Amino acid sequence: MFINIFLWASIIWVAPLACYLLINEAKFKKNIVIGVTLPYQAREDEKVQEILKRFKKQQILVCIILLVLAIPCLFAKGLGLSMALWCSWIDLLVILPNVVYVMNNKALKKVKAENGWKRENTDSIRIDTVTIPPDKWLSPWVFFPAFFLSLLPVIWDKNFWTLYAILAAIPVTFWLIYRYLYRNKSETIDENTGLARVLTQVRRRNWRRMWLVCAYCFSALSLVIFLTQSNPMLGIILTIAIVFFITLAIIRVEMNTRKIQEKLTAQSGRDWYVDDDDKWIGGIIYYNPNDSRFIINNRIGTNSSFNLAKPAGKAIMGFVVLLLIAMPFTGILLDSIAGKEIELELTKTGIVSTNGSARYSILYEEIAEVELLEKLPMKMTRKFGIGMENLLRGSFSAEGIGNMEVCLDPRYPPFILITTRNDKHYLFGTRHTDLTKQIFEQLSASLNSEQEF
Amino acid sequence: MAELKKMPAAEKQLTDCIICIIICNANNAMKRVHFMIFYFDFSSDIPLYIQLRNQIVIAIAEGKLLPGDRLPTIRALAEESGINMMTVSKAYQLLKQEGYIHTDRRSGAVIASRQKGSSVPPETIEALRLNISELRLAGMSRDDVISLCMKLYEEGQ
Repeated sequence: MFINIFLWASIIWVAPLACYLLINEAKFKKNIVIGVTLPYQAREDEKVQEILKRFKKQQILVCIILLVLAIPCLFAKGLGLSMALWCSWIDLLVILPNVVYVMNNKALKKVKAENGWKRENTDSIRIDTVTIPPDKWLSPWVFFPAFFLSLLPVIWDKNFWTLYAILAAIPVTFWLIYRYLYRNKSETIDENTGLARVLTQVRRRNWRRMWLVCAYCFSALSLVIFLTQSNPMLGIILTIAIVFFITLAIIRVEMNTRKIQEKLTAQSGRDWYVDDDDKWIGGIIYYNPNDSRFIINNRIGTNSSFNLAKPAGKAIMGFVVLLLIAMPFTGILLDSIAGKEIELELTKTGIVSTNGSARYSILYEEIAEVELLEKLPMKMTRKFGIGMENLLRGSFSAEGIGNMEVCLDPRYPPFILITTRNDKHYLFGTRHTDLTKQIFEQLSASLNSEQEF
Repeated sequence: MAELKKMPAAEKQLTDCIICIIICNANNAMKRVHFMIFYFDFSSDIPLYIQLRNQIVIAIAEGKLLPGDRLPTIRALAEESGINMMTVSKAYQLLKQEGYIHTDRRSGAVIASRQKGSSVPPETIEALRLNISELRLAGMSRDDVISLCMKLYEEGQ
């Protein structure tokens, strides 16, 4: 139940957050509302207002439906079923609000066409050289302290060096995202070049802020993991606090950008204005074969998106769709892995433990010591592998033992701890208490006889 | 100042932005800003690099771009327009070959000063011959063609 509550608490808030961000799309920013560019006079139009109100109501309704649908996830038994339910819920979270968005985008486009606000689709573009932003970027050295801080714990804790290396790679990744997932393009919305320059600066500044905050927060995460090893509960609480802080910081940056975009463009759209609606499918997906760029800036807010007309864009979209389809099956997959028998047997040459595709074998002559543990070692942490309530498999670390390879069901003690001559540790078990004991006795006996011989 | 400190972040950023817009507009009004607007027609039969080259040549002839004015960098123009960098580079190379611009590492592409009486390439004469023939075939009289040429020439003064 604790795991279910933990999963619930760490995922559920995404639904109201998505609802809040989408409802914000119903406010005019850069002459755009729900992905449709409209002239200034359309802001007070009755039909437009009606669609905007309906959009907000539908988004709130979707949010409530999602919150209700999350209730059964709380009572799911087993990690596999719980994962399957949550992954299906995440699929719905991605699909439902966007379906509502696209429906209302279509309705607005219809009103736009009826009122003659639609500009003729042309294949031409207009570039004002005065608004072209400078090609200046933060030095990677600004991100370097975050990289260094993430890697710092390796000096004292070599056991988890892979984890710290991954965490250190995150600030580097954030610098790469900051530098290469942003299109250095002006935010032109009308003929006011001063406004375009300022909007561009606001976006650039907030983009920079977002990735710097993320980089330094992740370095804090590395330090938290290192400093709270003796107190895992404190570690979990601090990790949640950091994730919460990062999310809050990102939302604040995004909302600041949107607020400024809204206020600065409150009076625009009266004469000539930029209308790129024909390049945005459903107001969400950018498709422009005339644009050679793969990365493009979202029209509203700070984020970036992909050009689906490029092969890489299609590949990413295909991958995302496949991921959404495959996600609910991960739970079933986990259950099928965990359901497979954990076999432990003594062969002519050594001891072999198998579970599904995983196989661990140790030769008798390699074994230095064997011990029967009535319970799992203290403070066992997973480094790599599976950690379910009915299967522990992969590389783990434990206090007093260090690194070890594990293949067992934690519900069925005892467990056989094997130490090899080159100081490697293995912890094995089966789902049959008597069988484990019997194998331990046979193994001890054969080792003793070998030693006597 | 004390009031500014109390403002929420977004409000403060907004105040900064308004100040920034005023400065930008004031700067534009105070000094001659050498900028121009490019149009690219993706449905046209004319290649994009020729479209870019032609617009720069016309801007120079019309005095919108003066000797010493900098053109946007290849990367910046490509990012802004979505046109491939190679296309922009090709247009700049052509302009350089024709002597309209010169490039160096520090300043990028700069409008070159042209001597009066610079030689006209034979291709330009041929193109003019073709254009005059087309106007003739369209039914324009000699005087109409000459007055049209004079009008277009005056626009570039």
